[in-house]
Amino acid sequence: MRGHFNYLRPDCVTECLDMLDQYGNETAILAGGTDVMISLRTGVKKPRIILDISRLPETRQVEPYGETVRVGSTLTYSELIDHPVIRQEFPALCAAMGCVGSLQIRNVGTLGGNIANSSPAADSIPPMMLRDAEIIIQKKGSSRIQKLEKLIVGAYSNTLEPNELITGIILTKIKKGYRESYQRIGRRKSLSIARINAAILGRLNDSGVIEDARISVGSVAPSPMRMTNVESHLKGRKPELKTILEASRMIAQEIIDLVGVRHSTEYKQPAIAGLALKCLEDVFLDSSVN
Amino acid sequence: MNLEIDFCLNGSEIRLSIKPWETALDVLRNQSGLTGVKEGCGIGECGACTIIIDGKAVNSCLILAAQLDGRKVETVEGLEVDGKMHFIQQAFLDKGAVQCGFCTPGMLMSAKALLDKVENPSTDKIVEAMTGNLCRCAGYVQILEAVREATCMKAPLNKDDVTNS
Amino acid sequence: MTAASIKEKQSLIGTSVPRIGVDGKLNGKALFSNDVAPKNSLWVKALRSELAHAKIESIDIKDALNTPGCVAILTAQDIPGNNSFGIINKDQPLLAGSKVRFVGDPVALAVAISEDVAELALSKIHVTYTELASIFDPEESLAPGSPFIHEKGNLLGKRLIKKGAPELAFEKADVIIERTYQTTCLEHAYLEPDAGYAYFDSDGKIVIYASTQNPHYDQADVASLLGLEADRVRIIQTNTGGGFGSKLDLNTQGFLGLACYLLKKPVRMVFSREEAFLCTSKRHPLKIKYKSAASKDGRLLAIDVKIMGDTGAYASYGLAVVSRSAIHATGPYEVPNVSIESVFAYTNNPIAGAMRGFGVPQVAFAHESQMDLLAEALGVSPLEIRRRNALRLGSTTATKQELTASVGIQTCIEAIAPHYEAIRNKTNSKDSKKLKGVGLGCMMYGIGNTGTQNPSTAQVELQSNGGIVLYSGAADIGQGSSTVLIQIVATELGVGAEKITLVNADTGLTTSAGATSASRQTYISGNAALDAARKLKEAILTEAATMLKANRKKLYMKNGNVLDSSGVDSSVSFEQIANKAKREGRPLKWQGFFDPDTTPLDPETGQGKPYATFAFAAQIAEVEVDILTAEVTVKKIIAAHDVGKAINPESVKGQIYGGAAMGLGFALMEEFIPGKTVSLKDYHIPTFSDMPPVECLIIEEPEPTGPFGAKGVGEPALIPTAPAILNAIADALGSRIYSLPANLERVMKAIHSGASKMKFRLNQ
Repeated sequence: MRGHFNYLRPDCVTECLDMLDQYGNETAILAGGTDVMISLRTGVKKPRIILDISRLPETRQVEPYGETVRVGSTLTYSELIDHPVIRQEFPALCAAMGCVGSLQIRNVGTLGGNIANSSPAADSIPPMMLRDAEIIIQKKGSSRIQKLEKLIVGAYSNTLEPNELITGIILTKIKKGYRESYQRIGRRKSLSIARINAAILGRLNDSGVIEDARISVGSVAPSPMRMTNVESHLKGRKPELKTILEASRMIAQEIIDLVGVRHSTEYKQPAIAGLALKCLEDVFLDSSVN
Repeated sequence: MNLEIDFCLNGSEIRLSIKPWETALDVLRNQSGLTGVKEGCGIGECGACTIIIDGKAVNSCLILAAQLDGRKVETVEGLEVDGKMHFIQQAFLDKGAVQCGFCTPGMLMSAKALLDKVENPSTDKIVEAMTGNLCRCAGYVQILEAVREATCMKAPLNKDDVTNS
Repeated sequence: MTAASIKEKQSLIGTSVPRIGVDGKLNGKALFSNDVAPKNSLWVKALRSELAHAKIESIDIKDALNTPGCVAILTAQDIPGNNSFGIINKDQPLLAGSKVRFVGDPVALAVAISEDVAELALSKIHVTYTELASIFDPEESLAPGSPFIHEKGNLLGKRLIKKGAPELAFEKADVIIERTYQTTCLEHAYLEPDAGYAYFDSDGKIVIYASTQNPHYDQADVASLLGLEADRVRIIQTNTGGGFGSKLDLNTQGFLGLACYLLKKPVRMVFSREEAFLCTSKRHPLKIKYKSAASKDGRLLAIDVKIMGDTGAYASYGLAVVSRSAIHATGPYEVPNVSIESVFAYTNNPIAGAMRGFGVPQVAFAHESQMDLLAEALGVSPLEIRRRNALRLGSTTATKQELTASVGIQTCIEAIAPHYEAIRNKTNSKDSKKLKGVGLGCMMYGIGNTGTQNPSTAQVELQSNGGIVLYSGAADIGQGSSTVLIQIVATELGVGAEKITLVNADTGLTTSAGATSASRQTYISGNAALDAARKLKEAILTEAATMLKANRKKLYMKNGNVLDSSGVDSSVSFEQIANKAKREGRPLKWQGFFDPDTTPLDPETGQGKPYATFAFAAQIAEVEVDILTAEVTVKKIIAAHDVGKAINPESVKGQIYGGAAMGLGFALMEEFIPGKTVSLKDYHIPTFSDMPPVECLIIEEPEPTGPFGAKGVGEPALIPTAPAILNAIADALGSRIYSLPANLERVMKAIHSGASKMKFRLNQ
């Protein structure tokens, strides 16, 4: 049964932070509502107040700033996918956002919400991780900026305090010569949670050697993770198929070593490697190799 | 602890007194009597409750009624104008795209949101726009044909702006 | 009958008349089961067991009754009649009395002024249970010493079919293939969760509006629960948002009847999706041990099949599945020597009941896999082995039923053959990480209930304004039976479909048409409606002959008039005829009846004539398997279905498309795990993006006993798809999957145990 609550809809961030300051402990923040509304239905959440932040003007802008873009936290996936700057600068993030739920979900779901929900299988988080995403968090009278990797501390768990609000995400722009890829596996072609997802970003130098590689894999651990060992391993090598295959296997092995062998390993180990291979090919090989 | 909300529903400005915890789906069905808005799952997985808010298809089960305040809302009941079928309805009829009919209102609204926005959508674009609407009877083939047909029907109709949007 | 008169007669047959009632479904005005209750109705909610098997020691309702707004709490002891229902076995209590048998078994009802209050009241009911040992496996259930779930024991039923001398045949065989197949529990996932509304009418009858496939059965069981004569209960089918078998059970009707009867107030009940998942029936998971023998020229010699089914806590339609799965275990092939044993047991799992195909989709997965394995062992093509063994006129089935007409399986196979060869000959994709495969699936399906009477009735009435009213108890659940019945009657009476008013699926106004199940409504209720229309036609022509002073044999009907074909320019309208007959007291409402010609099966040998006719089909699936991720994409489905006669081709296609989608879900993604699958988030059915193009090839081998030659298509549409997809995956990978669904994990396993064509082995 859906619990009873009050509904508040602040007109600006200052008002919102005041409300959070006062009622934060008994409040559930509603941006797109795609997760909160389900928690309300199942009774997992029983807040006294629902704070609707979907109309805060300060959280609804895309602002390029030097090498970065500041993305408002309550912009919906659809708004971001359609935004020329986001399309241009963040192709893997766009691909990832395009995989979220259905169009109806993307029309209301927000990037800020995806972060605050901190699902291990969140589509948007691996590609944001590769762009050194920093999260702007405000509370009454102060604000802080925290790296996305540090903000998320576990499955559905993060450092946000009840009186805090995510107002924006700072993403680093792509530099010339970089390519990135997002891939995911679902149990059906759409409307499914990612069984495994991965984002890979990289650049070759003029002599065709991997200069930078960044790898993030989701749905395999309590939170999406960077694969820094494999990233280092790849740097300085030529992206030959053998190298890429090896890197794919390393990614899978490293994850399995971390989470331990389980019933699902028989599937996940080859599938992680397979998905990583797809991303690596996308990023480092001009055309698909047979 | 009722809230007053004002919004535009199928072309008419209305004011409703609602409870903060009621969903848009509940209020449209129970207060406005728009039972064409269907609850199939309550968690945004089936699309039967799809309505259009400010031009975008959304699941009304995942929207609080309070969020409708100030918005422009369209439901399946608003499609017919003066008793005349909207061309998307006509296309669904022509292509035999309706079986049990429970998913139909949501399908129609997803199709309308798409065709209101996109002039001549590709098949991929249609599938992308419609894939949040589950159907268990018809296997989607005739529904896809209907939306394609509607795309063709739209062009000559645009001049008269019968889309009511 | 002259050629011209046949043409005249078939004017609406084979035309895609728009569906009756479609306007309301397009403009949102069609009322479904959750749309009919007035606002003052009380809400009924059920408290359901959270234990799988437990004795009920006590139910304390005191606190619950004190909930403000709670009108009543009802338990088993409030049921005035017989607290057990079920369409075949009456083994299911409406409210559990002595014990609960599955998670979801209802133990009490709250009736309250709102849904919230009803839920609050439920939370205050205190049930004291003593937990009993639970059984979740049918073999374990039947093992000696297992605790009894029902007093009579844990065996639901057994069906044996014996033909020829299978043991000898196995000795002589050139090839023997023996495998075990496993299918899983499936959810119907109709889009409309169950709901309903009940009130007392001015005659003191309980009127129940419900989403149902079988109003007349509902009426009988609700009356029995309440200890009333059947005519004190009236069931009216609302628009029904899909059923696929699950709405054959009493899902809300019994609760509504009970609350309405005891409280004398209008009541409503609405299942959430979660509740529908928890408590409505599922598809039976089957374990099928299948042994086939063939000669080296590719002829089937014998099969030995052992089927073990899990029917869950209550029987529902389980017994029908016991028999039907056994009878259809041969597939659409002539097998001279047969030994089949089908055994189903009760467990503490969710109830398994009717679901589109009654066990045949499961056994088709097995027999079609076996055909491919035999073909491979014998070095013949999958197409060829099916050609050689497919049933034909004069063939006998496993139950020694001789097929004397309308055997379209050979035609179906020949219709898809060129497509199959064309796909096979396509060069495989250059992308060696995506492997393509093509597979075949064939099936037969007996129309109507198995070896038992299952009649339908209908009435056709000429009204004084010349209009025609068709009365049929048949529930149209979206498949289109209402439109088909109208086409049949309109054609027989030579009028347009718009001249027919249909009154249907209302026990107060119609007589029984039997269940909307077993793909039977076109064939059986179609025949009943045709019978009634023929009788009315006779009456009309007799009246007209007198009025026109004409030779009755020269008269024919057209557009609501009777005309004389002998060149005399005279006619009389239906209206004139109706008025005359009415004045003179002659009947204008005629009763039609049809019961297919069947015989019961012998209990020892299973021999008999279980069905009057069979539908046949052959499908092709083309798939692509991503060997990196184990994702399967179905690229195309081609479906040839022998439907006898497609009365409404667009509806037939709609059934085939929908069946293919359900088959795709069965093949690749659907799995209901009790306790884990709670909503549509966990239970995946195919979306728009999962569906490939589907090409329909409608085959018409007329059934002489069918209305205008028609048989049925509802269930047949689904049956061949999963086998075709699984055979296509095996073709792509060179290794086979024996358990459904072929999900990511199983496909990955198959990839890594597959043939040497795997270039990328990524697990090590």
